[in-house]
Amino acid sequence: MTGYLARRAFLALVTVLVAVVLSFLLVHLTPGSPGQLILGAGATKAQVAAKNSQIGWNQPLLTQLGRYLASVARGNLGTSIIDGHSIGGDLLQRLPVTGLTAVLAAAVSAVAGTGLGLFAATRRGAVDRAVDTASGVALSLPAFWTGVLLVYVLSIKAGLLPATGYVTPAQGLSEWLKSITLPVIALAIPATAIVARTARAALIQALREPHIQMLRSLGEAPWRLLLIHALRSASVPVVSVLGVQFVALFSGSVIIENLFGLPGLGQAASNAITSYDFPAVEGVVIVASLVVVLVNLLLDVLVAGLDPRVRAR
Amino acid sequence: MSITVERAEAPPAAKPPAGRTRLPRFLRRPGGIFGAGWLLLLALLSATAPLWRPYGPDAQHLTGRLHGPSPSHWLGTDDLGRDILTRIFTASGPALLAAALSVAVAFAVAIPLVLAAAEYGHRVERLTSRCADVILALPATIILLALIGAVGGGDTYLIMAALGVLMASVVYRTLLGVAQGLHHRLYVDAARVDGVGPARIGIRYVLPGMATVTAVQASQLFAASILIQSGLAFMGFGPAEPTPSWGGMIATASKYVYQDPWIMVPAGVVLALTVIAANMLGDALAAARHDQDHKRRRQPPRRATAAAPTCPQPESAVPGAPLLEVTDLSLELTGGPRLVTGLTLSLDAGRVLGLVGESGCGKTLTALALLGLLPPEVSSASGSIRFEGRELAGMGERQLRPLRGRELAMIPQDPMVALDPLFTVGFQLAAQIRRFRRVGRKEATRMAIAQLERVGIGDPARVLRARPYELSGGMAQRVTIALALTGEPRLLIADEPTTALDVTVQAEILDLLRRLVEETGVAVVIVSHDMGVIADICDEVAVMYAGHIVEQGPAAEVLEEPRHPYTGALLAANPHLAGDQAVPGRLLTIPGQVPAPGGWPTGCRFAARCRFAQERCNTPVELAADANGTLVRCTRAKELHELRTAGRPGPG
Amino acid sequence: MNSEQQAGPVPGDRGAPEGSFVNKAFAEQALTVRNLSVCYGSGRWRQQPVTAVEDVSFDIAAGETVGLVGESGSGKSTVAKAVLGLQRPSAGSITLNGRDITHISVRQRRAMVTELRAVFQDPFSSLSPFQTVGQTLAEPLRAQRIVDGRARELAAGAITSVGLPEEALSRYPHQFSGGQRQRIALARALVCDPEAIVMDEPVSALDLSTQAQVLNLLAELRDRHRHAVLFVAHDLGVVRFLCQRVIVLYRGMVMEAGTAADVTTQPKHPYSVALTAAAPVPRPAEQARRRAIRQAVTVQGGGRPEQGNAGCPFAARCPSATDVCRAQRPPLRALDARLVACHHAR
Repeated sequence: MTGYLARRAFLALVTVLVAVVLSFLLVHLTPGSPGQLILGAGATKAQVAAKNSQIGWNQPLLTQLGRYLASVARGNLGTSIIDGHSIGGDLLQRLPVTGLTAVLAAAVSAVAGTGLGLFAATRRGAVDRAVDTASGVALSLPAFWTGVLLVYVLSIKAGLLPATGYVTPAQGLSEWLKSITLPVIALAIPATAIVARTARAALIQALREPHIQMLRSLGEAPWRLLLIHALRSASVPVVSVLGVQFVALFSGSVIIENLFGLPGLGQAASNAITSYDFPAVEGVVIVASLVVVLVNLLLDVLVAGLDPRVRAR
Repeated sequence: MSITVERAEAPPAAKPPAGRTRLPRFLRRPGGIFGAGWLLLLALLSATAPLWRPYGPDAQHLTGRLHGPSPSHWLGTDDLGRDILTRIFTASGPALLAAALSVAVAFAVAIPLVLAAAEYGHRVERLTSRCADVILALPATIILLALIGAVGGGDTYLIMAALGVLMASVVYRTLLGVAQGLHHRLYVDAARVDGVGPARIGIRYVLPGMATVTAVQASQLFAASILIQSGLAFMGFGPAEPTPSWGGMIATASKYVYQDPWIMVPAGVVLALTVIAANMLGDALAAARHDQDHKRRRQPPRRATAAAPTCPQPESAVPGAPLLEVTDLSLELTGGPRLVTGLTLSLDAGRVLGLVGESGCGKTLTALALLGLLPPEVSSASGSIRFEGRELAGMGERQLRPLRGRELAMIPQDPMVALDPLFTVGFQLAAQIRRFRRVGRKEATRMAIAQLERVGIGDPARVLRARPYELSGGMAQRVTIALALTGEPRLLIADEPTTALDVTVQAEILDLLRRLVEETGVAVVIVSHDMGVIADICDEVAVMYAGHIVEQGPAAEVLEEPRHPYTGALLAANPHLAGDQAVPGRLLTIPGQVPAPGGWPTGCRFAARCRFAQERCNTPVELAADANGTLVRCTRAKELHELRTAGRPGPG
Repeated sequence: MNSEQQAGPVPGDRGAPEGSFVNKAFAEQALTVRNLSVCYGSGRWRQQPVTAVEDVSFDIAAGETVGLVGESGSGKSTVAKAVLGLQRPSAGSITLNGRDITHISVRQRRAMVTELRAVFQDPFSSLSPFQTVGQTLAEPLRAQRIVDGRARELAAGAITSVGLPEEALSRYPHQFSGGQRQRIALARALVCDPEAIVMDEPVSALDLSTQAQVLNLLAELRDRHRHAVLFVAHDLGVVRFLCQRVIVLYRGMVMEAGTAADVTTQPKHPYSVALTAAAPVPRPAEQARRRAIRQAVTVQGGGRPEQGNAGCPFAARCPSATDVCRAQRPPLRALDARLVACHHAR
């Protein structure tokens, strides 16, 4: 088990490194230089050049990369070239917003999806087909579109929930919940559909397995066969798909935060890009990759715990 | 070169019924029709848009802003008075192309890597898989945003190509599994022996096998790509104004949703329908593939499936009812042909009954029927199954369940998969012991050890701690026998219990079963295709052919002096000989093939292949008792027996 | 040779000199295997290397059918794969018609495709579902640059020689039954008129009556042609019917080798005795007799055998094992016209 863990952890590290290098390279492809952006249109070429060398923009690429990696390793993500705020500090504040929303959406989709999957797997026939079609539609709807529709119906028309804005849990738990309900629903709809399909397929597969048949021949109660044995067999693919969904939710939150005005990582990312704040862009990529990679690692460990055969890989 | 062996007839080529062309399977499903249809329609409308659109995409009508649908603007106008219908179908072309591009890039990158990884073995595969893992773990949208930051949002095709590279990792993961599976197929080995080089193997042998998975994945990725594209455009990172894009239109709409809620509908619905269409197409393709696999698997199965053994009435009838009494049992495919007909047998405690026959004779189904574990597509049409006087046929699941394990139990064919791979043997055994005997954990463990010793396992403590895949085949089968005996059943039903085992291990398991019968008086119904197994362990035997019993009686009688031509032919085709028998130059073979259910003649079902068939064999034949107590379903049985004893060729 | 076979040349025989069919010593050794060893698993992190085959040697002359018998883990399939180049030998040599083929490249093997052919076990997966029967049969000919008309001729000849009509060439494998597919697999082996054929359990997956048909076909081929055949099987009855000589393998090593009649009716090695006693015969009286032998001869087993013992691999299960058996591996020695690897065999 430790060997498996070590291998996955190493891979996780490599992934973050690749993300960092990738974003670094992308940022340096940007036309224009930070100096230009900071000083504005009126600056002369000499002033721009001076500012750039002050920032260190003119040094060879590898040196810049090396310095950057070194400072990241120390925990310093630099400062914004737009308004000088500490990138690390800012992202740390924003992380819980995105994180909590994604986790909540994942939790909702896990529970609702598994429930729906169980329902479809046991009823079969017309009910099964209905769930299948509904989930097919649900996972195809763009989250930002359903988000706007939800805002229209539940916020503008019914006045039940706020359309935009975020309240931290510290400021008021019920207020917080209200402010993230719509985003979570918008994110959870497609995720629930995917989890439901996976759960259904995995359960049907599990119920056909020979060892379940053996237990049936020994007279085990059907509810036990379904909820204990089949569910456990099916949990591995479900957990795996939840991992994938979490990554998607994290990525998708970028768009959702834009729509609902949530001050999370996604908002930071779009702000940074539109304002060419290159250290901020790099910072967001690092933090996002780190989170995603850690969650994947956790899920890998969970899956390995559930299914010992995985550990050999 | 010509060889004087039976000519095997080639089957007629499967011809479609005249006058009806065959639609590909995925198009016969509603999802597939909708998906393919919508996408084609959209592509057509987009390609021809400049020809039919009523307005230019940028033409503004500042007086008619934010109007709903009207005769001049079927889908309404946007905030600058532009026609929404026009803009939607102007935007659709590039959207479809860009999504197609990302899918094409994804497959162009992934497929060569997959083929190389599958062909060139371990080292190459490790490298490519690690790379794919890393790319898979990157947060795609954020990386794309960084790219957009670098090159601007206008260059949709470049961004979609980059998405394609990121998606290649997903394709790689899925296709690698398929390709590796295909590589292990025997026909790839055969091709290598034929001297086929790696490139040709990849292209001619592996790639075609990936076709359906590729199609399914391509549809799904197409859908994902359109979603991501629109999402980026929604955030303002799509094509610059005034170029229309679906995401951009929805973004505009969201700003004006209070004044004109309708404006949210057209672009959103078209976008949603497109994504739904692509996903449904993928679903239809996946379901078609699934059906295909199932159809292939239902083809001539390997020899397995024993027929339910039927017991004739023993001559020395002991007063009192036999343990198991089956009368005139018939099984049928629900809504279809009969699979087993007129099955009658009985079995006393402490006796072993063998059900023997080749694939498809119905033996396994009969065994499953005794436990009430028929697959959903098979049902019992008529007949009775009495166990200790109780009628089992027609009992619901709720009434049958208390009997399972306690009165009747099953020994499976493949012990390795019949045990739960995730738990130790001890855990599984103890769980059943506690359920049947209602004892505590420690007591259950002690009983588990005793149970394992009873089935001949020398080191029960070690086996308790092991997981099923750590055991040898013979050991695992002993464990399943122990499991089956936990509830102390009176009747064991063994479905080809030794087929998956080595011959020396098989001998041990048969010895074990015999010992258990002697010690506990349990009755056993054993299903097998192997006459030798029957000869070893069975007291009585029933030979099944095409869904019914053709001969049944004491094993010694039936196997030493078979009366039915099929039994005789089966014995003569068997290359296993006693030490003193001479090796024949050729084995006796039976021409033709077993008639499939639904195609059984009304007369003797074996007549078409029987050497001794005559005109009268075309009338229905019943099981008739023979002189020595066996039951035979053959009109010529007596006559052939007399011929044989007179020294003329006969069934034996 | 089986006692029923007629001595002397058979009509249609491929140019063998008079009388040489009987005199084995003068026939060419078509296939020779010397000290073959195959190890898996070296190089993978934290996995013990597994020795599948250890020091196996045998010869097959032209016109001989030799059976390689063993249970699971005996290494018999591995030997077949090594001969066919599907598995790399770790040690030893394989010679075909005097040429060393142990470590030849894929290109060289392609040139050799008409000399060494294979028939595999599973009729349902040994034929590519994406090609017609005709295309499959033509595949080995491509390597010899035989295409189109000539290839079609040879394919037609091969398919009719196994009892299937020429129309079969344009069909796909899934349209045929298991027995018919095995015939097609056989035709694929014969289409190049090879020197040697390796058959890996070709009848194990077939129904009894189908098996009989295919066995008869194989017997016919054995009698009419001079192929050297390596016949891998787990079923002693089949081997006795078809093969002239038999080699018994256990855990990758040769236990006994001799004529089929001798080894199957009067085995000398305790494992061969156990194997023959365990093979079930459909005659209850005979079966009872074998049961008695079996129970006297074998130790009730169970559990995975351990690797890397110094002594005889069968010692843990052998009722007559002594200390010398556990300490020292018995060499393969000659005993009454056969070879036995046992310290105590007489």
